[in-house]
Amino acid sequence: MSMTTAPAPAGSWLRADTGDDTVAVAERPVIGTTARVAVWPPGRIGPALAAVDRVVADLDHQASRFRPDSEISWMHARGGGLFMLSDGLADLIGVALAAARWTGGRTDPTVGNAVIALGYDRDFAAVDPDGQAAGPPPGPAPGCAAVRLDGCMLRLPRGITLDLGATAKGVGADRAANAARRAVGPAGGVLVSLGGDIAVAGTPPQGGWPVLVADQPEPAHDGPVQLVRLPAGAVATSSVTCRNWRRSGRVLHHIVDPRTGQPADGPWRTVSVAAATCADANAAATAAIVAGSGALDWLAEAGLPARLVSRDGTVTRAGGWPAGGNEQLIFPPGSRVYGAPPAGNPR
Amino acid sequence: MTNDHHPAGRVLLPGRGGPGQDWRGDSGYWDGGGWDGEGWDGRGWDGPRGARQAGIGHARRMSNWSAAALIVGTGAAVVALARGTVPAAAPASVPAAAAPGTAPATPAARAARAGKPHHRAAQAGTAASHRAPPASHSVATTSGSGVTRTAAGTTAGQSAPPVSNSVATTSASGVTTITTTNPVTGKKTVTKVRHGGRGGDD
Repeated sequence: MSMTTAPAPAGSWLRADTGDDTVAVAERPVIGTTARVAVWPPGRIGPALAAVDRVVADLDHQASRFRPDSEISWMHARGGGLFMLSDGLADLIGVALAAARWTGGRTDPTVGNAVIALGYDRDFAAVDPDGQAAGPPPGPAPGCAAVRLDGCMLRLPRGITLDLGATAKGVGADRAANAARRAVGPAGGVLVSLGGDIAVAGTPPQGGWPVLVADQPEPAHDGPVQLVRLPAGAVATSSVTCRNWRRSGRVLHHIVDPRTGQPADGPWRTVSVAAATCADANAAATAAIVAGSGALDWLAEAGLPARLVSRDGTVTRAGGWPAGGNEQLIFPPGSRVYGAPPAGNPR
Repeated sequence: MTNDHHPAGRVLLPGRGGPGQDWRGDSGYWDGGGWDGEGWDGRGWDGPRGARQAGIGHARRMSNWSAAALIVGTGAAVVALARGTVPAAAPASVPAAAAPGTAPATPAARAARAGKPHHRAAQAGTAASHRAPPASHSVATTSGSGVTRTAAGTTAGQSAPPVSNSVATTSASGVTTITTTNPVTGKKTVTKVRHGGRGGDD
């Protein structure tokens, strides 16, 4: 067994050897997680990585609540009011509002204050892993009804802090995959993973992109894993097994139930969902974690294939998620979060 | 003479005019000048009913004008939309105070509208109208024979390659531990072990 990395083709990207020389794979740390890009033909990975870099940098500047110079931090620093946003942030908030409506409030960008009150108030690497609760426990999220977005014009009521965690990484993967596909050219295909939220574009390898679906943070070591093929669209995973910290002896995690303002405590520890876009998959996976015992009903209503891992490690498949290995993920076409009227808007 | 005709040859609306009703100049479209009701025999006049019918007739004419204006306006809107133009009026859901110039624009929004490359706010594929990104499966398809066709119908020179080993992992927070075995050489490869322990959420 060997550990292999090669000189990065661009920037701080590290080339990863997967054993197939028909595709080029590279990865690097970005926005607090890891980005991985796979490209065929392999010779086109340079332009693809440059395109992904640009998209990720834009995403970080627009939506990171941990950067004081980000656009969303600038807005939050001024309290509520009416703001003219950049196209990119307006798009992100529009998707978050649409996802909130689609998921029946199981995802909600207005959970920002609850997440902060729980202790996730800075870059996760800087969060005290075991401390005392700083204040009273947070309550339910205020909800999206008073948040109005019309084009690039956002009305944000005073006291509401937006957290786009349920959708922003998925939007970023969608943007990056499409930007990389344009950079690769008409003949070829790309896969972009942002922290495990994966979008593909262009022509896939034969049978689809091979993707490992895992539950535990280190899938090579333990936990149920499955190899699937992604011919198009996206797959995303949400889990409560990572990004944990303690406050006053209580274990907390980052997936907050908007209805309570507390970390979701349902029966599922990990949910993977396939959909036409990564924003859809990302929102659906988070919504399923929050839905708890109602997750299967909601996923059936959404019509998306999903793989759920319970707290005791039992795997449940739904919506046509393949049972075997190396099988294709098939999902209905169309997006529920792109192009939908944002929640809270009178239409 | 019937109750439909004015002595000067003008046509009366149903229910207009007649004994006891001062209709002159009440609407502006008929001033009643030159006619004093002489020759009106009272037939067909039914008092309050006539007044009501007068109102209906007035409303009918006004409706005709409104319908015409609506048709013209709709046509103009269709033409504007077909040309991809933006309506001149602000959206109804935006309050008056929200007119451009009164809402504070974020630095990125200002830079983008000024044409500066600040944060690349208006990047390709991220329009504010929340359009879906181009669906990957509609961009290109691969046939069973491996012939690649682009969306434009042109045949690309390269076939999609076979890829045996996983190239990415969807898991908790982007851990990308990959252990692969080369089917030819049997060599096992661990490409990377990294925890996505910071910033981004699932």
